[in-house]
Amino acid sequence: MTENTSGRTTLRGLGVSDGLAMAPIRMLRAQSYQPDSGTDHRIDLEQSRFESATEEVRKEIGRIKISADGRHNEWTVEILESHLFFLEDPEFIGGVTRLLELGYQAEFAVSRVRDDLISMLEHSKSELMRERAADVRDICGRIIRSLRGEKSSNPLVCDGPLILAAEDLPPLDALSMDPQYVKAVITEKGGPNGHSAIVARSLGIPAVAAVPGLLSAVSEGVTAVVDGCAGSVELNPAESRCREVARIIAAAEKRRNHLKQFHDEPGLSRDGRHLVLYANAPPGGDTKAAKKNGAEGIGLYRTEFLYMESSVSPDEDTQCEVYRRVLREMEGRPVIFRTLDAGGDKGIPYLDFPKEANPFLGLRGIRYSLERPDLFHIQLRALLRAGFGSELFIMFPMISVPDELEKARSCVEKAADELKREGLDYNGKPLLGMMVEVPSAALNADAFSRRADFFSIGTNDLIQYVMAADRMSPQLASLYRCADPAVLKLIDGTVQAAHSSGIKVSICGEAGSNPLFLPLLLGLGLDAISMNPPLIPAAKESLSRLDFEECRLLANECLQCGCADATEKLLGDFNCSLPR
Amino acid sequence: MKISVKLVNRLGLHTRPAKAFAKAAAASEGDVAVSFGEKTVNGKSMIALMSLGAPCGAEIDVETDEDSTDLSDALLKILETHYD
Repeated sequence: MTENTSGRTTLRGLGVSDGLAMAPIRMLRAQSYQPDSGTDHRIDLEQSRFESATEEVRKEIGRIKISADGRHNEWTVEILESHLFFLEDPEFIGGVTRLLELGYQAEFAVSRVRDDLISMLEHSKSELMRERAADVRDICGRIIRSLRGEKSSNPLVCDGPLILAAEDLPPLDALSMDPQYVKAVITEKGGPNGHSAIVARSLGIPAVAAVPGLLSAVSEGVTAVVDGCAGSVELNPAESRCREVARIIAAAEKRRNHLKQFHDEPGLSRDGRHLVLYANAPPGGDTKAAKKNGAEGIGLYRTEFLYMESSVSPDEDTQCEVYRRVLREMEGRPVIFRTLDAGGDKGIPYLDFPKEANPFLGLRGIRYSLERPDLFHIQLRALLRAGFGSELFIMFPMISVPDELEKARSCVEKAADELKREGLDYNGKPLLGMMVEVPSAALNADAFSRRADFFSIGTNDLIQYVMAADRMSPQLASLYRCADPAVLKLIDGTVQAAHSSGIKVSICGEAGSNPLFLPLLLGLGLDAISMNPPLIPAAKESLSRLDFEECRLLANECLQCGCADATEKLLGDFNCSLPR
Repeated sequence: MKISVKLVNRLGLHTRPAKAFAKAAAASEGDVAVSFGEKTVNGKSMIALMSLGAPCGAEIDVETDEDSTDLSDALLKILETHYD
């Protein structure tokens, strides 16, 4: 802590959610309370009080879920569900019941079991589990409040912008925060994996955790500047600093508003070249983020999540319903469904993957689907049925030789014939595309381009196969690079082959999300990029400042570079030279 | 019935796998005990399972009263699933 004569203080903690904010502090104080420890309470009465209090908390969580709907992602919904599940936990219920049977009051029983569970979690060797103690404290606190007849504090009542300061923000309080008022969160405890931090990140609220001495240093209503990136909390900032921060915040706000104008627009370069900006669907297939960020469609829908979430292979109707919902939610915008891409690093326990020394060079993607025609057939039937009445894009992963594509196509035809015989509604003209991620597919792209309806270049795997360098290995980061001339030549060759056969080619993978590469990818002639949804607005804006012809010249120069460093330098210089 | 298994989940036995395990174990009539190192806990409790603090690669023992391969298969599957 540094303090100067004017009472200005800067506290340091751990930045757990990025962003800058300035507002008055609102303190959330945990109420301390000593329950009655007598053992002369009526067992049946205390039992029923406990039951109605847990029921009340269950309803409270339900209300938070409703009020938070639309603000959160599947992660935070998962948190609420774990909380509900805790209310049924046998260690918790059993522990409380045992104490009630001894004649203790419900408040005492809950707080005693809470302390036991918390100490159990806090003794855990895992940091992640220790952070879960906050969940137990939160939910038990709510039960006790309900037992004492106190009203719930949720949703938090706000009358203007504020910064929440607490010892540890209870996760349920975090979930009910309205980002319109809550500008930042600072806590004395907590860490990056705490549920509160996860919620703050998902809402885009700056947060600093683990600030020693926070509660004794702050007081209600004091102005604070919170920098979630640097992990700092400035109390009573000088007037000049306030003006500076206000300027930075206003500029960021202006930028967000500026980006909004691109929301409903297609991705167009300054000279009118259309580069379609698709979203990669997140795990779970939620389309909210894609729509919110103005995606022109979903460029990569990974169907394996359906298989991973289940303990048995999902049946045709279940799959069909999920695919149909995605198409419905995207309201006519294209959705590219990639068939099951398991194997490699994505094992699914109930599927019989062989034990392999080299899973990334093993039975994965289309190789597995062709090995298990029964499973593949179910997925294709579900896709064809879901695509009835819409444009249907089906994409096969890990295609290495044309024969695999032919076989996959026959499987689609077989599924279609069967649906026809059964008199069911289905899409009889799906577009069948493939991932270009195995070097053989990129090198032989012209043969594939005559057989496929579209290409999508998967840079993550393509780079690792071309460079023989694992993406996850920190020691090999200097080898694993999209800017390597070998990788760029394969992308260039794939685009040219696709265009000479008149098919579209997109790119998905981390490289497509990197702003540095945008001019290069435009210049190489790609038709679409699929990226993480939050990056789309900025990509549209960058695109609007690029000139296709200039980028073509840039791409040609890049293809002449001898190494990745040279390409990246060229791209860096080009980005700096762009008009602001 | 006693089975041993090595955790593959990158973050260990955290909330999601613990919840899935507790749910599956709750279907058993008898007790389900889970041990890691010197600690043994109730396999039907998500909180207790999390308190084991079992990391990726940990050897876990699961002991069930019920002698059912359906149950042990279901529990094994969860411990062998990648949740992250």
